[in-house]
Amino acid sequence: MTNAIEIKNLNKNYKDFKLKDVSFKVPRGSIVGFIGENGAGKTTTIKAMLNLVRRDGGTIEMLGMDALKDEKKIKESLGVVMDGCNFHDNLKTGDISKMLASIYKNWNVQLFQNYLKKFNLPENKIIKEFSRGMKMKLQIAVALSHEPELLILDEATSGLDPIVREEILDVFMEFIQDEKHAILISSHITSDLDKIADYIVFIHQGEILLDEEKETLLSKMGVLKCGEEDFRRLEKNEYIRYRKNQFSFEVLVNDKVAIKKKYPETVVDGVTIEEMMLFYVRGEK
Amino acid sequence: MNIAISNSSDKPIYEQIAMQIKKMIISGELSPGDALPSMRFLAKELRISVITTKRAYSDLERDGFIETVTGKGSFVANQNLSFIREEQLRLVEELLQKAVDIARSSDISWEELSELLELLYKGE
Amino acid sequence: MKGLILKDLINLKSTFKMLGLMITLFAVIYIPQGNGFIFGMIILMFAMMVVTTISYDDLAKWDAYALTMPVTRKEMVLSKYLMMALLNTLGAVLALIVGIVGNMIMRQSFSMEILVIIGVLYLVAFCYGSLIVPLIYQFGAEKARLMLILSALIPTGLILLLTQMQIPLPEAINPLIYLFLLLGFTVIMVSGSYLISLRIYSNKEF
Repeated sequence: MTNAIEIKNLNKNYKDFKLKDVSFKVPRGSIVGFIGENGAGKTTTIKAMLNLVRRDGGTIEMLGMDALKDEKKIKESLGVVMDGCNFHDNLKTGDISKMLASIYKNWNVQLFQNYLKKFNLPENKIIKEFSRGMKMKLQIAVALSHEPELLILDEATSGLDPIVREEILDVFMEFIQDEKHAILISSHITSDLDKIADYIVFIHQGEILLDEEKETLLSKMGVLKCGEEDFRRLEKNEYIRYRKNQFSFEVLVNDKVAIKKKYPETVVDGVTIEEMMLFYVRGEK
Repeated sequence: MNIAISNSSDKPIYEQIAMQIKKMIISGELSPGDALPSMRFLAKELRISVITTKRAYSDLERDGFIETVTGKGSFVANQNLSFIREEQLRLVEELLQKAVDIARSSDISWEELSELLELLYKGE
Repeated sequence: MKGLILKDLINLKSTFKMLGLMITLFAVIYIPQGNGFIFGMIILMFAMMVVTTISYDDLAKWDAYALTMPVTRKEMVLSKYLMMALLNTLGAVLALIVGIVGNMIMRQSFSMEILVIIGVLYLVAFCYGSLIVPLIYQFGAEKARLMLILSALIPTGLILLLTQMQIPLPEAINPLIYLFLLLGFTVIMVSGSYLISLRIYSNKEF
């Protein structure tokens, strides 16, 4: 099966920022977590995929089609959720359904109704009266109701309480039960990605630092905590980054099992995506 | 079927899953021909990556515990007793190795160790 | 694209209501005066509504979102021009109704003058829209609001001029020619404006 998304050497130049040779894939049947600091280039990359901004170089293929040539066709099968709610304040869910029925070929009114019911979204209130969580759930309901194959989510769960977030994650997991489907989720809430992501793509200052299976990342990487002496004994290729404080060195190692064997008296912990990010961005080489 | 994964264990999640399913097969909780949940469904319910469940299942298949039929799913393989026994033996050896390592490093003699083993096996 | 127009209509519901009230009020004031000013006001207000729809879109950050759907940039622009045509036509029809009703109330006979005035205003409304829409696309709704107020002076001025003029057209030349000239001019304005808007919008980054 073709990949759901395939980006090769994407370049985009702004005055103070560039996307440089960004390349990665989103295989069908998978959830890819797209992480990076604010301003690292996540949203720019997504906008380039969606033709919201022009690119200065590179190719983008979505669902096996060229992102420029077959844009309209791709977007029939694409569900996008961005941060915030982009519907006008005085619309109701019924209005939205009518609107989208004339935009999407496969708009499924019944499916939309089902999601509204599932998310407890009222039919008689205008969007202005929706809470933030409700607005987000509405966006997701909309994104799913035209039977897309690919979901692109840009900070779709930020600002939501853990309960709503879990509801939403469950919906995504349900979506991915179909092997043809795929999800690209860009998020700061890395704990969500710790759970459901299959791959992690880490972008930093416009370049891809890392593109790995999440499980491999989390099971192989570890954090070694030790004193300066022990740190100096490490070989360059045994660690990725380190940070130090008054009492110890914290070292991101790429094979925690090997390190534990080599230095059995030291403390070697597992790592979360968030910690890994902090090491890469704030640690030293 | 019960599967419990620990996020704080040293063992990677796919190993934990594989081990727990193995145990169930060996203990007879799962019989040959029983259908296992699909990899995707398992991932969804446990809220983990599909790649993890895929790896667990492929390890189980490699070790002969299950069979995956494309389009149908994964099923507990038909076992012969000697195979299960082999697996049990392997586990015992692993655990005994651990005991031996500790004994050696703490100066416990072979006599002490074998006495202890006899006591444990034959009961008080 | 039907959906886009539908969305604009729904959003304008409250504006329509408010407008309805205002027009009724002004109609009551101006009809007895026999002044054509009311027609200009109605048509101008409807003409400005297309700007309102664009600022609603901006407020909701609708465009960036809509472009993630199978909607082309061309359709986005076209829907606004169709909206403009729809609103202008509604305004003209409403002005005509007010004119006819006013005539009935004042027990005057229906004069062709009303039709001509409304016809001219209708075309002026299109010219006005043709000016303002590309400006909004280029400079954004905020600055455009300013431009709106300033530029509303132009059609207002024109309308005032027209209604004060009593139309003393030279007898030798058929007054219809003026109308045709204005029609031609308007068609050129609208097409030119559409092409410019399309160009601006196609290059826009969201």
